[in-house]
Amino acid sequence: MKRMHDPKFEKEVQKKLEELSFSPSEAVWTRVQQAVNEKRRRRTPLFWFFLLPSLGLAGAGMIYFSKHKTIPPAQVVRKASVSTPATALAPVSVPASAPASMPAPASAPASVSAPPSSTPDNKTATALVQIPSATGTAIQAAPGHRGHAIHRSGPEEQTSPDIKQDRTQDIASSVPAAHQDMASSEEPSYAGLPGLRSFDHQFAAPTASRLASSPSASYAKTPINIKPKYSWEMGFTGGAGLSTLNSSLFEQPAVAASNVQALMAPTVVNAAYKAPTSGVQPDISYWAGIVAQRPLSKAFTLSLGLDLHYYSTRQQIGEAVYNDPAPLYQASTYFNYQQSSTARSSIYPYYSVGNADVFVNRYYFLELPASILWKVNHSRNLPLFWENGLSLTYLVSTSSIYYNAKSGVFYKAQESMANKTQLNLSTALLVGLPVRNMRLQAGPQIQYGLTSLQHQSSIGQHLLYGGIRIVLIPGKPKK
Amino acid sequence: MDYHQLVKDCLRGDAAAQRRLYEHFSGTMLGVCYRYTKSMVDAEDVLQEGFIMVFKNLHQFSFSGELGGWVRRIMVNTAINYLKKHSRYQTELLFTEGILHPVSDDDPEITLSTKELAELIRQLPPGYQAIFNLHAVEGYSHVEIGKILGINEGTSRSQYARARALLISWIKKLSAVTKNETYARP
Repeated sequence: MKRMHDPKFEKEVQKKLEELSFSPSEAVWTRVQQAVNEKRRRRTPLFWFFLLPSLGLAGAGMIYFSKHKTIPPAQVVRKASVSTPATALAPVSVPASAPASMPAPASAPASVSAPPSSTPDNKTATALVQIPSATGTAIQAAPGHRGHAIHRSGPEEQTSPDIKQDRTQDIASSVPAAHQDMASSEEPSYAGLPGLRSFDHQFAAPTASRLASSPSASYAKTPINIKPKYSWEMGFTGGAGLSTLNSSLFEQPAVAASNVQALMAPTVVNAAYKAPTSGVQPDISYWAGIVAQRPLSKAFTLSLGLDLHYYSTRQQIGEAVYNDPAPLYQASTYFNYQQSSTARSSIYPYYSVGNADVFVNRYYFLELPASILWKVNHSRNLPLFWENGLSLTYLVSTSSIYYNAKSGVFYKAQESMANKTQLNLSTALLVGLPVRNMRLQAGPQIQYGLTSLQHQSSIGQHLLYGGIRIVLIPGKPKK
Repeated sequence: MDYHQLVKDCLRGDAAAQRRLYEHFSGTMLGVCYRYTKSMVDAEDVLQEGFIMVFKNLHQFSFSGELGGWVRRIMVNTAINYLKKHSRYQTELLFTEGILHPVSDDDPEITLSTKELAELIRQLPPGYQAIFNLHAVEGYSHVEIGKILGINEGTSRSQYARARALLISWIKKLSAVTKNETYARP
């Protein structure tokens, strides 16, 4: 039987070729070093560029919200309870001027008993008078009052049963009969009231009418202006999907075609010659940021944010042209590149049209989205939101190539050639998912760039993104 | 050379260490790349891509084997990917299913220099060239070559046999020419 091959031959070849060595040109190391350093350099500034504004915005938001957590002195809202452990509540809004003109409620009883069943929620039943701590002043009782002062309430006061008892008596004696009347067992719904800031306007009107009709209606004569208070809430947002470059909203990605190769090799040209094409294909895109939401009404919510968005597209290209393409393509004069041919060929490589290779165009945008969420249904467990909005974006950095129809080549363009400021239109359908101690909204999102990516482009190049949008807001929803 | 320390320095981002690693291996690795390609420009392109891969994936090197072997494997893989990606190699990498035929027992003495032998290998069609390099020089089995190039094991064997026969015939011819030239000298 004949041998398939002689291992001795292979060993000899192997031994000989082990000695094969050449000295690479210095340009190889330069390009390797550039590529390695570029990757490291690209990550660091982008990280800080994203992190620092986020931290700044989050810090400013915290300061802003912490300052506005207190209730303005003009709107002192009291939530009184009576002496029994399970007492009813009487939410009343009183203007700041009201105490001074308050007549002495001579008929006000020291305490009023209420059926325990009227307050199913002990937490709210034990809540006391809340007066803004920012003002730092104790509100004096009205002239002719029994002399009880209403003190500022603090966290320690709310947790001390003894103080609560005393305070409750104080309040009970200072609250006119109208309050006690309201605090009767006829209003069991008051017991489930949320915090003062989310004071529901649904019971503001009956409260006002009852105050007005009560015998001692001095409070009610002053105008009561209770509006539902909505506050800003901060959260995190992110998403992932695919992005591509479209000629317009519904048109497929632009495909470059050229007969440059035919010009370079005329012998190839024949009747069946088909110009090579370079298609644009979608590639991954992802983003992350922070979001601030504020309900405008029960159905609509305003959402503002700050995101860093990465887009990419895959571009089919031909061979890399490392020689000076200027004589043939005139690309250098067209774009006013002032570098030498050597520098140009090494820094801005040219690619012919074709499908020999794939180039990934990368874009990093800083985005300022503003949108309105419309709550489509009334489900508490699975609320559905339709979000529509605009976002102003800024191109932070890019590594992309552009097709020059005049010269028929792709080239790595300078960033100045791109429209750095973009306006995007976005729509998303979000489902609120029940997650413990936080609100999670997730759903599909489509975003379309209204502005063309390139200044000098005969065909539009609009970024189109489709993917999943996720919004995460820590904390339970405020009712 | 203390490869362990060198790799650690490179991972720390020490440019001087990266340069040392590059200079230590670049000559030999360019020789590897040269055997798979048809021009020095292409070989340098492969070397460049290969070293970028080396530095990018250096954290994955586990010191369980030789650093040189690890770098070499990356270079070979990069070269194969380069051949697959570039059109001028693609057409000739389309392997035809051939019948496995035996090779003669010829055992020519290789009197050629290293560079002459490398030049002869580079004259082989790209398909033959890649398989010959992978099997004869790198020591990959035909099953492995089949997986790397996406061909059958039988095709790899067949192509290798043809490449080997062609190379041996060239070596013989070239050796004869060299011998005649030697005899002809006064």
